[in-house]
Amino acid sequence: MEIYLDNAATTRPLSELEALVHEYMRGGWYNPSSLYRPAALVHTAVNSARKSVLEALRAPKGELLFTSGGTEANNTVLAGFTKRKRHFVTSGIEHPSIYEAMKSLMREGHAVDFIRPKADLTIAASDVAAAVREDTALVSVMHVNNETGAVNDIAGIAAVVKKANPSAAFHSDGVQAFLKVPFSLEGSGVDLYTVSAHKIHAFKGAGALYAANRALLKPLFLGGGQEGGYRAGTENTLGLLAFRAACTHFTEHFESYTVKMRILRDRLLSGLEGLGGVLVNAAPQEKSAPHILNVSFTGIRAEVLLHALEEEGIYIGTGSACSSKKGMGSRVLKAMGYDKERIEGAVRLSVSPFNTEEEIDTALEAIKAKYGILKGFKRR
Amino acid sequence: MEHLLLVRYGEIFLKGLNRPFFEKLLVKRTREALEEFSGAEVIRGDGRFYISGYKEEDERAVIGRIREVFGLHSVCPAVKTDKEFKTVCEAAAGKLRDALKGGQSTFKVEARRADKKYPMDSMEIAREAGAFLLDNVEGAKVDIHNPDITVAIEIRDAAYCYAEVIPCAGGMPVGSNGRAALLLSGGIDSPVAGYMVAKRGVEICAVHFHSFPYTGEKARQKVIDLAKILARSAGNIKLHIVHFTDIQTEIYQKCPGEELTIIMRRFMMRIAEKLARQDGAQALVTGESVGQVASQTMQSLYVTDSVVGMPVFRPVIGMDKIEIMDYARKIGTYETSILPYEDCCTVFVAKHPVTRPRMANIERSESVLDTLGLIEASLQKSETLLIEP
Repeated sequence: MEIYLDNAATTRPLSELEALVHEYMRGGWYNPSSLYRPAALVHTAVNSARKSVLEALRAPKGELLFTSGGTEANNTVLAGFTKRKRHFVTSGIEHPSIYEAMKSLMREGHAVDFIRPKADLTIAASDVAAAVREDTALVSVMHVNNETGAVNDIAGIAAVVKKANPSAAFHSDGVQAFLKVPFSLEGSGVDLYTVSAHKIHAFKGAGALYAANRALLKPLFLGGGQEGGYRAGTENTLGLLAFRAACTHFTEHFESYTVKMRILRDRLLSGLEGLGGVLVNAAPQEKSAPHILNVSFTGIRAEVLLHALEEEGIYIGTGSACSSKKGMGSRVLKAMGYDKERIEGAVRLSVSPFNTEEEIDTALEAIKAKYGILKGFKRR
Repeated sequence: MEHLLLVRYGEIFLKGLNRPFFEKLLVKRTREALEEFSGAEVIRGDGRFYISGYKEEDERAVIGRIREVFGLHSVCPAVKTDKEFKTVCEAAAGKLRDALKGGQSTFKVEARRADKKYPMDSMEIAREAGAFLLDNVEGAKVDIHNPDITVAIEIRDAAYCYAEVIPCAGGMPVGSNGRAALLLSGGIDSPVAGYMVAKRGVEICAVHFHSFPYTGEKARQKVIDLAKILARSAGNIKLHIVHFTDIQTEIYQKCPGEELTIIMRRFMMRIAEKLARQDGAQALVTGESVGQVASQTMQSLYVTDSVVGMPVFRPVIGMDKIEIMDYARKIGTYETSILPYEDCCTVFVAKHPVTRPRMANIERSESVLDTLGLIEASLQKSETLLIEP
């Protein structure tokens, strides 16, 4: 038996993708840039994948660049704004692919402001607006936080950013939000948006960057002119076709899947809430994604609980690498000002629509039993 | 003309009647190390080995591998020619030209004549070959006293020329000095300790204490990786991964907090000794250094050693942490050792451990534990792997 509750890390590919892989092996592997008919068919398929992702984003007219994933898309965004020394605004709870890239911009002499989250774990539009300056080139605030599941009101943030400085661009990392929370790019005021395929039950190695217009973009890779010259390199065609299939599948089932995930997550939450020593690190219901639940088991180290559950075939996440000794711990939870014990004991449970209530109940039983044993062994 | 490697061995040269035994073992170890290079042959010469038959493009890789074999002193990339003097001089010129590419300019020639029937003596060979090189190698200047490059010519069964002497690991061939069990933690010190003992010709088996769920699969893999690095020089290593968690929790529940570590260490030593005896080892090896942590004070070492009936060697006992780290970098274990997966059993490390444990107190605290039963149960849940380089 295996219960997978680490769906924010990656997800099990949809079973329908197996047929797609077979098709690819048999006759779908041609280079979409080649000129003969089978290659042209692949080219058409790639473009239909582009259409599917844009539809799933409910995007207005604009560009969609396929990338190798969220990290590349995020790095591509920043590359577009570094020609002159400028000012950037981001949050202190971004994924490393924005956070570390922003820190690198600082080292290169750009100015960057990091906005801290509020008590409800979200980023306040007013805090962002206050940081925007006349020379602000780009504001980047993630849609759903990957560790806590807190949802930021990015349309609201985009609006205040535009009001404070109409020439500043707004980007949001939507990797954890895409097809998990209701959202439409149309009318959102968001200029750039990042998504990734393997978080929605497709394969690793495919992602996309939406851009309202080409002027916002600068290619990271130069080469054969693929993706309109903005992302050279032969397309990951299998990954993109799987991305298309997953987009179609999740758009079709969006309502029922998000309800299902919410039920599962809330079931976990209510099972853990009553447990002594457990602290919930989550935004209020209306501001939290349906699939992520972050809780701290005080008095133990998250990693120990993770391994103890692993023994039972239950896989969960910690959200950050272990090593409290070196003062690492979760940057996101640190930004919340939580104490060391709360940070050390923080685990991330993340569900998919394919988990079941029975699985949640089994996991809850195991968590309670293991926590009961482990918290008896406190460092002394 | 043939490219080959001339390999000299170190200390075993000094051995008397046992020398053939050591030589044979060293040839065996060298051959094992070169298994990955198809065609490579090791031939015993007089007080040296010749390695030939490998692909020429592999030469640097072969040298790299040779440098890891304990018992070898140095390796020289050489050419072997017939003894016709002109041919020898041309071979020497080729070696000198290669050496000059490094931007150096001065050279001298050293000659050795083992074949006493050769018409020129070594002084003449050096003088005449030197003159030839000076005339025929562009940019070469002679400096007898302080040359950048020493071109060596040896006249034996054939002539050998080389201009580069690369130092090897030294030590003694593994297997020439019995066997010892290394307590391998995954930190920086124990791989260094294991390397140092193996370098003296000791065959190593290793014991690792795993505390799942307090340490995970990545910590276990890290220890396997370290053993793999050690195995490049120390040969195949039998690695015991001991399930230690139940012993730790039992000690935690029944013994005073500040004595956790020292009692744990005593259990580790007992288990390591038991496994060592099973494996035919005659000693234990640890990476302890006096005073580094609470369990490594002289008093603590005394108390931990008291539970074992075989010698415990601690080759890094007198080294500072920085010295041990430098050594670890040199032998290539440092980068793996500092991966952050090991510190996860901190619950079982007291915040204020005893630094001057008294034997009587520790024995009294331990008396509530079923020592033999715990060890037996822990060994039941343990696994043994054979780690190859």
